[in-house]
Amino acid sequence: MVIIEVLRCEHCGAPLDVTPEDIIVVCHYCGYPNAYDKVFTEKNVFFVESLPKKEILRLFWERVKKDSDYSGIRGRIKVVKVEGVYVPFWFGIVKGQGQMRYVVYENKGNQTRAVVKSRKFNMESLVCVPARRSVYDIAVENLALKFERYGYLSFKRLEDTLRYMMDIKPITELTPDKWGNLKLTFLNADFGKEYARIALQDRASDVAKERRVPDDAELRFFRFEGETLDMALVFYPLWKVYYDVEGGTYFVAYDGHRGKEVLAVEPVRIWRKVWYALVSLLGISLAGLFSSLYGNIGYWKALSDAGKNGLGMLVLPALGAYIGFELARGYGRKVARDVRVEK
Amino acid sequence: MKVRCPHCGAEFEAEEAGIVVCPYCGFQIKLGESRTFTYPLRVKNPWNVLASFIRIQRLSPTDVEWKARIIERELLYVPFYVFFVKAKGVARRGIISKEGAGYVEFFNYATVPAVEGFDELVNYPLPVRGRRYFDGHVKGKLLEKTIEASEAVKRLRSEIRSILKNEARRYFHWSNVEVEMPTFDVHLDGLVYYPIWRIRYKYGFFTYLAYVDGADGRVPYAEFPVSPVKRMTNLSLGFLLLASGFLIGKFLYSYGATAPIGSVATAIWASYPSLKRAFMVKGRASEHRLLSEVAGDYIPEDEVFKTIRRFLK
Repeated sequence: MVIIEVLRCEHCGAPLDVTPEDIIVVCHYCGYPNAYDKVFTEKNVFFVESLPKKEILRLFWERVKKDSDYSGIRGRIKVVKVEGVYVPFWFGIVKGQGQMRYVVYENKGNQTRAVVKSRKFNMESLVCVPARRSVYDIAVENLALKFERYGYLSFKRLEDTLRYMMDIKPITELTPDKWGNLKLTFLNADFGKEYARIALQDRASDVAKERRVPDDAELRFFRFEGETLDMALVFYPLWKVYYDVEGGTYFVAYDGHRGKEVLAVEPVRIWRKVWYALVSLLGISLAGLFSSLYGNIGYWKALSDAGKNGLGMLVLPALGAYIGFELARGYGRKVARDVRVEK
Repeated sequence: MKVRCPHCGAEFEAEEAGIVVCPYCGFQIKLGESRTFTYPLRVKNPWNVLASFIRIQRLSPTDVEWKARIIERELLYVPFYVFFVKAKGVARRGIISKEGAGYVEFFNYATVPAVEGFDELVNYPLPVRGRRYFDGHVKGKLLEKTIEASEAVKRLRSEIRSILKNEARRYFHWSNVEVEMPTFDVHLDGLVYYPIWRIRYKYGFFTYLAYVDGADGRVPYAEFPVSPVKRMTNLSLGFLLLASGFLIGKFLYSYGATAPIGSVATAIWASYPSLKRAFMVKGRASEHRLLSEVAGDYIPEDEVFKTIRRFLK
């Protein structure tokens, strides 16, 4: 016993059949596109026009021609599916303050001492989160990262920044005629405005960590608190070209507006496997070679003769063995894979 | 507000609160905000969807589509709790040093199956918009919820803790991390009866299990056979790396007795991924986690130099 709300066409009043994918419901009786989701009545909702499917296919075949990973198998590549969708992204300007403490080692004469340094910072950044969890895959994630990486806060208003970045158009410009011409499916946004606001803050905190945490110092403390100043929802076209080759299916994802490649999932060719195996072998040899020193009497004698300088000599073979170990382990993982991602 | 009677389908005007009686059939309807939803079924033939997903898996044989025998194909309506989670964690470095602290956050939707036996579907990203009110009428087998919301929150807490741990490891470069969650606000967004196809199929001697999303055709979990050719390739490569460790160790033994320890231990680590793939009984994949393993790939030499630089500093 629950409420069953009846959704009716705004134009003719006929009942509408609504599915999870709909943000606009086209009436079965009169064909009128109804704004099913409140998001369409809000400001700061935009869409970006997409390149046609033909152009995406042209870009794909051009890539096949150029990429050496396809040498010898170009003739056997078969496109099985070309899929384009409008993915919703929330963009936001988040301003906040951060604080961190980290350890640096300073030399004073012959002594090295650890000094804990404290730093406060202010950060204002453009962040982006996919507004739909169910399409959240590696291509969507990568597209969001590219927006953040190449987006500069050149204007005060987010709308102006976005217009400069990607030629946005207000969703209200989408008349029934234009809607019909777009041909791509629009995916609804999962996040409402309020939840998106805090999800953007979460992302801004991650961006602060990515940009501010030092790579080569020992971190002791980190905190970032931000506030979302301005936000906008953008429906952005993403294309995926799926292709079959050598018994596997792979894909290349394209930014549907610019035609740039977002990422490509490719087969690992045998020459790559051989290369990975050779580097792994090199790693095993290095690990064996450097660790052999610890079982060598001559090495220990030299170490005792070296006196105080011996400490460096004691550590260096361990570092060499570590390099060998990590190379072998990393490339050993690559050897086992049949697929690689080119970002 | 216009209301459609769940019993006879008639539509009529009603107040927004209290109990009303359908003027056509006399059915009592409780008005108020309902938090139970469902999604319309869109995928009618789940095997086609599953077969094409299995084809994408590089370890699988190419003939699964034709040679597999379907032994179970059932449409289930699985109850999921949908939460919006606002969690803040304080990550501390592990066993050796507890002094480090870093703040990590998770602000997002999260889902937990409200029924036992669907652990693979914890935090499955089902859409939270466009759903319909659940009126008890479904075309498949409706699973009754067996897990209370409080129990689901406990499961969610451990899932979110592990997400935050990974975040701390990734951003702070800490290998051993413990996470406390001083803030763990959970808002129950509703209960969703989600259409999921359960498929069991036989290929060779083994039976494999898979789920197909009935609303949008994704594959949240699938087991698949491993092709003997690909198994042999991995076995050969793994064995080659392992054997090289012994040979290099033997060759360098005369320079130092510790050489075989270094080379063999390294060869075991290097060959483990290939050997694991060679000996796995069943392949497992999930479309929403597809390629996450590859996406987290790194350039080994970069990592090595970063670690050494940190060590030297």
